Amino acid sequence: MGDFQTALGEYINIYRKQRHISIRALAPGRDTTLSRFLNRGNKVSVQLITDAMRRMGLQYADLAGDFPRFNAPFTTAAENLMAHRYAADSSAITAIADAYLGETATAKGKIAELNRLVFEHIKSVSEAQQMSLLPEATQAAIEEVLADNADWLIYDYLLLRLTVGFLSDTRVARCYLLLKRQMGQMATGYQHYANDAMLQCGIILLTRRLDEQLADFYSDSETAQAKIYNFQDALVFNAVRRMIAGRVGSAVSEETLNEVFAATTTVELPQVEGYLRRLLAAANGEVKGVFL
Amino acid sequence: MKTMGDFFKQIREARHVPLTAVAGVRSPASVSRWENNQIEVTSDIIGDALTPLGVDFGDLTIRHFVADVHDHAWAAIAPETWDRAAVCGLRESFAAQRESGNDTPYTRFVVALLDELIRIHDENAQQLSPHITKLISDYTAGLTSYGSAEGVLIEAAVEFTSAAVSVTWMRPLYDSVMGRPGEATLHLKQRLLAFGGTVANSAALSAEFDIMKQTLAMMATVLATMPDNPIGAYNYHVMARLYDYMQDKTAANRAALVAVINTTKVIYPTGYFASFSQYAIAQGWLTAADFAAAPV
Repeated sequence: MGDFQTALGEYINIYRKQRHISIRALAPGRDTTLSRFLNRGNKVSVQLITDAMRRMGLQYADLAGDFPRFNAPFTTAAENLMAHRYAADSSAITAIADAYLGETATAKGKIAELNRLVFEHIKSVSEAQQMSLLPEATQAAIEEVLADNADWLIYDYLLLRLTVGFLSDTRVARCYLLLKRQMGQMATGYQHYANDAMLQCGIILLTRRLDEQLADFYSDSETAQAKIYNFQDALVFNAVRRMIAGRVGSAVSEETLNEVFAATTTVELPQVEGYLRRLLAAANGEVKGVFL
Repeated sequence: MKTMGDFFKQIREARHVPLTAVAGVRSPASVSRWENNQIEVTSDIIGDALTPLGVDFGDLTIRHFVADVHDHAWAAIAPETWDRAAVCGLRESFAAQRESGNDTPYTRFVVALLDELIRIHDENAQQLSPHITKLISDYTAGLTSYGSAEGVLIEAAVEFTSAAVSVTWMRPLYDSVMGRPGEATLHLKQRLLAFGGTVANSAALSAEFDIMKQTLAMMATVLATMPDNPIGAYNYHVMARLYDYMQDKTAANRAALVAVINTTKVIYPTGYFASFSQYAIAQGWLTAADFAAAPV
């Protein structure tokens, strides 16, 4: 933790120096305390850091984006996995999982233990390229975490997003209902985490060919689409909705995705195209793919 | 009103986590004092200290326990969403900060740019004053990252200066990211691609084709270091196909440009295709017939 404080202080200090702002200007009357944080990583109040950052226009959202260690390790690892999900590069997935497992090896408590089980499973599934469900006890622990906290945090949305593909059909259906309940009451800042989780639920329902839940998802996702869906996933979101809408019996024809594949070719997105072709094959029951 | 301490306690109890599991290097008693708002929350909660609760620092900002700055007001600066009253409000807020002792290069930069953008919109002017251009060039020299507010201000200013100048504002950020492409975050790379798109668009509007080509090369280099990213890929390809068409106005190059803009129907959320295609028509690059005739 000391190393982290030092790195955070150093990052904010470099930001300050590049703008030629004195420490005194950032913390009038408390410049010595702030200086010890910026230069040595001494512990200070969050309020002092917040005030100093505000005075030079640095937002926590900027730190979360630009300073990789700012987020909780689980958030960082989950977002890295999601960024690499189209590539199907098991070495990248393994590296992300190993980094997480290494960083949190000594973390204690049931959440930390659950997270390690999740990342170990993701790693093994990715390396084997073979879909498998989490052990029953781990699935139950995930559902319990999601059900116990009536007011979901970033963690809860990400936990569902990462694990829904490794839950049994009945748990997928129950956890999707828990997600929908949250989406009716959550703060605005959680919208894109909820959208990511919702889209992943749709992808898993599609690959498992669960018709009844797919109809619900299609209807629910229309509302999400109207609220301006997360930009980075709009393409896959549109593709999933087209596959659901284009199902005849239980088959989805490739023509359903003509416009999507025209886009992936035109702007050169071979990883996304490969991902969608695998998804199409899974939706048609031809393969049981791994969709992280 | 719920405090941060109340929030920690509620989550800890919902997750059935004992005080000792949260304490880490602290004493359980000090965690209890946090929860009861008896002591200030300290910086060591940032990072992994709250893992036992499944709390991320982002939760604290989403729930406004830790206040971020003026998140929404900055949107008023973008030309397409310009809101004079909101921009004047921001300007007054920063002027007040300066008067109350926060008179730094950052606050001076913000006030000067807001004043200039208000002048430009009021006078319907097309160009930044030379001293403001110099102010931005001096300010951005050596910056390896932009705060969100700085990014919004600088991208707004790009619209009112030559692309040859604005590419120099992008260069320090580019050098920083590409000097360590394996370490730079995807967020920084996405921001760089968006910035590049703005500069390339400005170069297209002012027919500065050498700068457009140079900017596109930078964007392509960044894109090559990222996993597939639909929005980043679109930002690059639409400008690359526009460049090809402006260099050689063949039917094939025109069709390629139309094809890229058509991808917004599936790459972007609903409604964006209309505004993107209308922009291309308004600039005289394409016509409504191009989109009517397109197969998708």
